[in-house]
Amino acid sequence: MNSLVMHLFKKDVRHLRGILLVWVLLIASQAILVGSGISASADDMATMVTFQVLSAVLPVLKIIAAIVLIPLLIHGEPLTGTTAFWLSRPLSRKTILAAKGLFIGLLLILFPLLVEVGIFAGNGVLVCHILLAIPEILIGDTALILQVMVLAVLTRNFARFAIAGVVIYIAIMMLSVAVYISRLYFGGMDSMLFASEPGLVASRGLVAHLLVLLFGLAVVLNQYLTRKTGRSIILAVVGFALQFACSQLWGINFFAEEKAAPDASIVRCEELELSLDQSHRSSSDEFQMRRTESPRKEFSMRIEAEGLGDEYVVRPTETIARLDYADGVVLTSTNRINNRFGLRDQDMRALAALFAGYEVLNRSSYVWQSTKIISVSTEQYFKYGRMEGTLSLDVEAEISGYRVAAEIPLQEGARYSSGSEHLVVSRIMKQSSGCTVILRESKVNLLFGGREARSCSGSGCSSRNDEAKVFYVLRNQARGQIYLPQTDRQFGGLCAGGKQRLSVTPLRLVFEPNQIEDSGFIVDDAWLQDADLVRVEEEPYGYCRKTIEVEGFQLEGRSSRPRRYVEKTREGPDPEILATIVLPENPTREDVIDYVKEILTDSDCQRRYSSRDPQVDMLVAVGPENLDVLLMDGYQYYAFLAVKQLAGPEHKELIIAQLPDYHNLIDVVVGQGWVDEVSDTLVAELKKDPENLPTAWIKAVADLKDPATYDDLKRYLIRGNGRSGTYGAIKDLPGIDLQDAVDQAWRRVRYDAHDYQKRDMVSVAIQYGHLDALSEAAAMLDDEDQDRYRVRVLRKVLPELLPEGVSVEDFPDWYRGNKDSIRFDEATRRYVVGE
Amino acid sequence: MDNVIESNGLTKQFGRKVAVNGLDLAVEQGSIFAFLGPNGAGKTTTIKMLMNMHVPTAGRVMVLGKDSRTLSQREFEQIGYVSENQKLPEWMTVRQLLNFCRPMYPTWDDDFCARMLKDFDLPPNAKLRHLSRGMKMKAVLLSSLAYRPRLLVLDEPFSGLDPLVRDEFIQSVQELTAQENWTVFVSSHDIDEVERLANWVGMINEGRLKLVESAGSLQARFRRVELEAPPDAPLPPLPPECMGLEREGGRIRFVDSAFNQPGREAFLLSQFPFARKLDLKPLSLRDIFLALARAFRFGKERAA
Repeated sequence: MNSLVMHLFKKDVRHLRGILLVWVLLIASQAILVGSGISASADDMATMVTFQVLSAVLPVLKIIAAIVLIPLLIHGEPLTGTTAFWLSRPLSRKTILAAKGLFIGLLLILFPLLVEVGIFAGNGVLVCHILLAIPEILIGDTALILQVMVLAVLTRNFARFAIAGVVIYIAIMMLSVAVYISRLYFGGMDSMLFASEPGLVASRGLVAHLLVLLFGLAVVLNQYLTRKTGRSIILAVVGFALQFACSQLWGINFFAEEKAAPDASIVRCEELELSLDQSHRSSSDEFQMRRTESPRKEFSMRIEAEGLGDEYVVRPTETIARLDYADGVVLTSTNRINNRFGLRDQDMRALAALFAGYEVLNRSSYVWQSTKIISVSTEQYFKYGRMEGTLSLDVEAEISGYRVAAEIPLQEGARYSSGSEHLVVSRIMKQSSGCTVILRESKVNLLFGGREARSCSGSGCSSRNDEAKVFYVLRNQARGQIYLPQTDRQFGGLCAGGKQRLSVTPLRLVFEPNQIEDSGFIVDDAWLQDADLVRVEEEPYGYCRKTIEVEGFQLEGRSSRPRRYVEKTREGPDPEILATIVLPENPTREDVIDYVKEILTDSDCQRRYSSRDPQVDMLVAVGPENLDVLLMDGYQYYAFLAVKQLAGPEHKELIIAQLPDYHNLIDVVVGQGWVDEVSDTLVAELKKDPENLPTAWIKAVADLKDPATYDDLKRYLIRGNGRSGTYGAIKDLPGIDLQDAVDQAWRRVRYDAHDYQKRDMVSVAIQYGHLDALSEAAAMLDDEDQDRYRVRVLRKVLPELLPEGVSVEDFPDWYRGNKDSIRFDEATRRYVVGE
Repeated sequence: MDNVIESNGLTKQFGRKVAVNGLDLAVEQGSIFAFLGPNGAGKTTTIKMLMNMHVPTAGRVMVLGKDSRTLSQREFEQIGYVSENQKLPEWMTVRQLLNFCRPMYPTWDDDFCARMLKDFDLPPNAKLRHLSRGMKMKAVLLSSLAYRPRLLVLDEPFSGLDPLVRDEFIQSVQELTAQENWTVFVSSHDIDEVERLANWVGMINEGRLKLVESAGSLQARFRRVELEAPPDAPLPPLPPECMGLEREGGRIRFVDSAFNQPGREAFLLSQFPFARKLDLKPLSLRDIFLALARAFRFGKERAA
C-alpha cells in the first residue's frame, strides 16, 4: 500500500481520535447490551427500562456519530472549493480516496460488522444465518455511510454540510408528506393499508439501498477522481430521485411467499367445507378516505370451516364476493383480510385438540372470528338490502395447525434452543395466588434468511403479526390441566445494529387467578411442582381456495325492525307520569295513536319490564279494533303483551302479515291455531339463519315433524341462541340424530366470551358425554349465585346421567374426587368411574 | 533560459464574467515575478489556474513544462504555494504540520527545516489555530520551503501581516531565492513590499495583462516630469506615452513612460517651448502602478 495512504490514514485517526473513541464506545456498549443476551436480568424493572432506553438510544447515537465523523473525515481534504491545503500538495486524489476508503472501510464498516458478527456468534446464531446476515449488514451500513459521504464530498466544511443536510432533510420530509397526501387523495384506503405489505416493504428497501450504493459510489468516485462537482450533483440528484421513487413505488416483491396449496398428505383442501354463518353477522359504514367517494357499507360474517378436524386452523385471507340479483344487477367486492390478531375460537379449538385430555383452565376469553364478506355502496344497500340474491364467495384461506415444539422444565435457567433461536427461563415469580414466568428469547430477523429467520420484517421486535404464532403453555400433566398465559412484550427487544437483526426479547407470561373463572383454581406451589412449560408453535400448511354459494342471501339479515336507542334512566314504571297519560272517551284513531305512542315512549327509558306493569292494561284499553296501532312503532314488550291479549280471529291477516317482522307474534299464531297457515313463513325465516328466534317458533317448526326441516333446526341449535330451549323443542322429533349438532354447538360455545350461552348449553352437552361440560355443571351447582332456572334444569337432567348411588347433591364432590377417571358410557349413557 | 511558467491565451470565465482574458505570460527560471493588479483584476484566478485549482475555460498554462491540468504529484513536489486564502489544518501544531508534509516530499530537508523553524521563530508545539495570521503564514511558508521547491507561488502573502512580519517574510524569501536560485511568482496589491522583492513585474487589470517587464527596465522607463510655465500658456497635445497630466498654477506635471528612449529629455522640452524649467524624478514601483492604474481607468491603455 502506498505509504502516503497510510500516512493520511494515520493523520485522520489522530485528528478524529475523540469522535472515534465515542464511535468505538457506542459499538462496544451495544455489544455489551445485546451480548448480555438472554442471560441479562429480566425481572428487574429498573434494569429492563434502562436496557430498553439504551437499546433505543444507542442506534440513534451511532447514526449521529457517523453523521459527525464522516464529514469531519472527508473535510480534512475537501473536494469542493479552491482553498484546501491539500490541493497545492503532492497528494493525488486517488491517494486521498484510498486513505478515506481505508478509514471508512476499516473503522466504520468492518469494525462494526465484526462486532455484530461476534454478538451473533455469542448469542448462538447459526453460522449460515451469520453468513446471511453479513450482506444485509454491509448493504445497510454502507448505504447509510454513502449517503453521508455524498453530502460530505459535495460540501467544503461541516457548517455547509450541516446546512445542506438540514435543507435536504426538510426537502425529503416535505416530499414524503407530499407523497403521503397524494396517496390519501389518489390511492385510497387499500394503498394506505396494504402498501406496507411486509415483503414488499423489504423489497422496496432493498432496491432503494442498492440504488443508494450504486449512485452513492458513483458520486464519491466521480468527486474524488475528477472533482467535477456539477456532474456529481447531477448524479446525486438522479440517484436520490430513483431511490425515492423505488422506495415508494417499487412493485416487485422479492420476498413474497408463494401461496401454495398444502401438502396433500397433511391437508386435503377438497375435504375442507366452508359455509357462511349468517347468524354472526355485522354491518357497518365502510371508512372512506374521501368525502367525494360514495359512502359504502361493509358486511362481515363468520365463515364456518368443517371437514378438516379440530386440530386445524382455517384463516380466511381474501374474499371475492359476487352477489347476483334477479334484475341482473351484480355486486362485487374483493377484500383482503388480516386475521392474525389475537387468539380466536378456532385457535383455542386447535390447542384443545393438541392437548386432548387436558382441561384448558382459561378458555373463555377468546372471541369469534368475523370476516369481511362484501362491501356495497349505500345506494345499492338501500335498494338491495332486503332483496334476496345469490351470493358466490371465493375464499382464500390459510390452513395451519399447532405443534408442541418443546417441553421446558419449569425451573429458572432452563433453556431451549432451535436453530438460531434460544430461550431461557429467567425467573419464576410465585405470587399470592398466581405466578409470573419471565422468559428471554433471542432470535434473528434477517432479510435474506427466508421465512424461518425473517420474523418481523424490520417493523420492530414486538411486531409479530406476520409471523407464526408461538404460545407458551403452562402444563400440569399430573392434573391434566393447561393454562395459556398472556404474553407481555412491553419491554421491547434489545437489538444489534440499527435494525433488529438480532433481538433479545423478554417475555412475561402472567398466570393470574382472576383469569380463571369460577373454578377456584390457584397456581400454588403444589400445582407448580408438577408443571412444565410447553412451547407451542403454529405450523402453516398452505392455502386452500373454496367457493361458498348462498341462495336467497340478504345483505340486511335482521329479522326484526330496528328500534331507536333510548337512554335507560328509570328502573321501572313511573305511576305519576302514567297517571297523566289518559285515553279520551270515544277516542279518535289519532287519539289512540298519540296515547299508545306516549305510553311506549315513556316506557322506553325503563331498565326493567314486567308483565304485571300497568302499561299492559293501559294498552289493552285501546281495544281490539286498534290492535294494528300497537304494532306501528316496532316491537315493544308491553305492546306485544297487549296484542297477545287483544288478538282474535279478526286479526289473522294482520298478524300473519306482520309475523316475518315480529317473530314474537308466533305466540299469538300458536295460540290462535294458525300454525298450518304460516308454516312456509316459519320455515323460510328459519332458513335465513337468524340468531334469535323465539323458542315457540322452533317448537312450531318442530311440530310440523317434517324431516325436511331437521337440518335447519339442527343448524339453529348449533348457531342460534337459547340452545337448551331449542334442544328441548327438537330432541324428541322422530328420526332426528342430534349427536353431531350438540357436539358442534358445544364446541362453539365452550370458549365463547358470552358465558351465558355456555351455561345454557351445559345441561344439553352433558347428555352427550362432554366431560368438560360435566366439569362446568359441577362448578354451576357449587355456585350459589348461579341462575336458579339453569340449576333447576341441571338437577332435572343429572339423575339420568349419574351412576347409581350418586345423588345430585353429591355430584360436585363426586366429580372432584373422580374427575381424572370419569368417562361417559355410551351404552348406558351415564357417566361412570374407571374403565 | 527556460520559462517556469508560460501561458497562452489563458482565459477563465465564471458564468458571464470573464475573470482572466487571453493571458499570455512567461516567467523565467530564477526570477522573482511580481504579479500586480487592483482587487478583482484576476490575479488569484490566474494563480489558481497555475496550480490546477481552476480549470481554464480557454488557453493553457504550462508550469514546470507541464500543462497545469495534468500537474502530477511529481510537479507538486517541486512547487511551494502560500496563499492568504488557504484553509490550513488548524488542529495541527506547527510540528505536526511539518511532519504531515514531510513524507510528501522526497527532497524534504530536515536541517533546512529546523534552521528555518528557528529563524522564523515559530513555536513548534503551538496549534495553528492559536497562532497569529503572520505566524500562520510563516508556518505555511516554512512547510513550502523545506523541500527546496523550484517554483514558489505566493498569492497575496502580505495581507494582514504587520510590518515587522512582512519584513521578515520578504527577507526570508529574498535570502532563500538568492541562495537556491528559485523562481518566485508573487501576486500582490501591496506594491511597496513587492518592489523590494521582485525583479520582474506583470500587471493585470480586468483580466487582461497590461504589462510584463523587468523591474529595472520599468524603473528606467518611467519618470515624473515637472515643468514651470506661465499660467496662461496653452498646453500642447501630449504623446500617448505621457500620462496623468496635471496643471497647478505655473506648474505642469505628468508621467513619462518612455524615458529610456535616447534624447527623451530634449524631446519633452521641445513639446513645451514655453517651459522655464524641467524637473525629472525617478518613480517608485508603487507610483508607476498608480500612474498606470489611473491611465487604465481613463482608457489610456496605449500609454503603457
